[in-house]
Amino acid sequence: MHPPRPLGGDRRSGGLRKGMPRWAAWIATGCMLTAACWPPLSPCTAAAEPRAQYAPRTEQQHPSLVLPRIDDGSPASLEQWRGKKVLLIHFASW
Amino acid sequence: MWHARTKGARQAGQLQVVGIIQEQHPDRCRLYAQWQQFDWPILHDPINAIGARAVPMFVAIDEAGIVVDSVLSLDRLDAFLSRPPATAESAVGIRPPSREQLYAQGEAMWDSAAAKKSAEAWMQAGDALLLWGKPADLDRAWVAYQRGLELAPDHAPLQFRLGVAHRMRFDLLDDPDAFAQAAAAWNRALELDPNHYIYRRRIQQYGPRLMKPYPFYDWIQQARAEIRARGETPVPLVAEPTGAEVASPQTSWTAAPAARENPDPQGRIDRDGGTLVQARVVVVPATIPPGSTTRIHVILRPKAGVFWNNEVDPPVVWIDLPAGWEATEIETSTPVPSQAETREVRSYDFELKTPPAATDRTLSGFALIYICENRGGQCLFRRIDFEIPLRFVTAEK
Repeated sequence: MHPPRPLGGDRRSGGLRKGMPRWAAWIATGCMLTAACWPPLSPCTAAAEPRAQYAPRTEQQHPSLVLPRIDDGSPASLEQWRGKKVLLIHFASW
Repeated sequence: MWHARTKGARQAGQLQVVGIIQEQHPDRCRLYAQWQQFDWPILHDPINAIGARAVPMFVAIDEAGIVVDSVLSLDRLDAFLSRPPATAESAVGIRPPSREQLYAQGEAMWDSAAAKKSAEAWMQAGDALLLWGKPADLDRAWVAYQRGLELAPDHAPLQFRLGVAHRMRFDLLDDPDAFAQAAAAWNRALELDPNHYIYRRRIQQYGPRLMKPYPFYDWIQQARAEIRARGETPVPLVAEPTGAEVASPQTSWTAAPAARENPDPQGRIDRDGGTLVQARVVVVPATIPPGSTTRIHVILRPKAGVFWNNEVDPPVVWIDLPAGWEATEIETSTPVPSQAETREVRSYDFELKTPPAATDRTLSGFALIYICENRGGQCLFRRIDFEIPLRFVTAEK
């Protein structure tokens, strides 16, 4: 196991436009809401930048992500569980 | 343990548990979740899109999406649960985009990547096609990763993703060469980033016992038995684990106990020549230091309309070992089915210990099989020849 290095995370506001879905706002601002454009600090527009590794920082917004569910492949994002405390478990069945 | 400890909070609506798995086959995790009776959503990240360096990790997130503990431990769980709820305006659930929307964005990213000529952009295009496309899109995902690697040949995440795409083509599109291509790409990813735990585990999953930290999928048979005992049907698997994937670790080399005799020393058995059965060999790790061990996967796939004849002896696999080389027993994770004629892909695994002065070379082997040209048709006894390419890294490299 290697200790994760910190990376700069965005703060909780997000600065999203009102009146449109948040995912649409991300797309409109040039950053796809897919795992393909994760984390938000390496947006699509900064294509030449190397990717930062996963290192969620305390007191900062958890990076956005959209990934397929293992049961039906449908997209799921952490944002859909806003309003609840979330325990995110990264694991493998091996 | 976490599942049991969070049960009360989950049932009280106090906590949402979400899993993210870092493994190739989501169906294996579905089986594991069925066995363990996990009732919370699990997301699949086969390409390590989030950039995790290791698992497991436990992250506590409040109602507004703010990380309150990035390395949560069981002894801090109650403190997390008893925190006052966040009351931020953003503490409202947001529906994710649809698969169609994400796929369409992937298409747009393809055009964007071509225009930008950026490895990162090609990686994003490949990710979107792989995660949200259909199996037929895997070839385009593979092309996207290849184009990214043409721009940045030493890009470890691209190499890892390329391996994932190849392995998916092996499992879902029946591309017989794709497993070897996957192993080579994963090997390269680990060479580029040797401290990456996720990359290392992928090689260890298919590699020799001496490099294994634990058996990877040895729980599957127990899980199936216990699920059936509950009166349920186990989740079916797209790809059964190979011998390597269920093998226990070893701390010292153990060769096969006795030398066998070549079952066709004069080569008198008729060769199939690839007419009825396709043979492919995958070596994991693909390159090794001289004197170390590697795992060989011999994969036999009947061609269209061709069936194994299960009413006679199971296949026999033979390797021509040069002096100074050692091998383990040949194992198979695909036992002969009870039906007289079947068409499953069969995998035979063994390990090689190479001499300290070994240099690049190709070993020969063959399988003797009983095969039927079509269902109920003529059945034949044939020899399938194959080659095992062995590549060595030297200290100078």
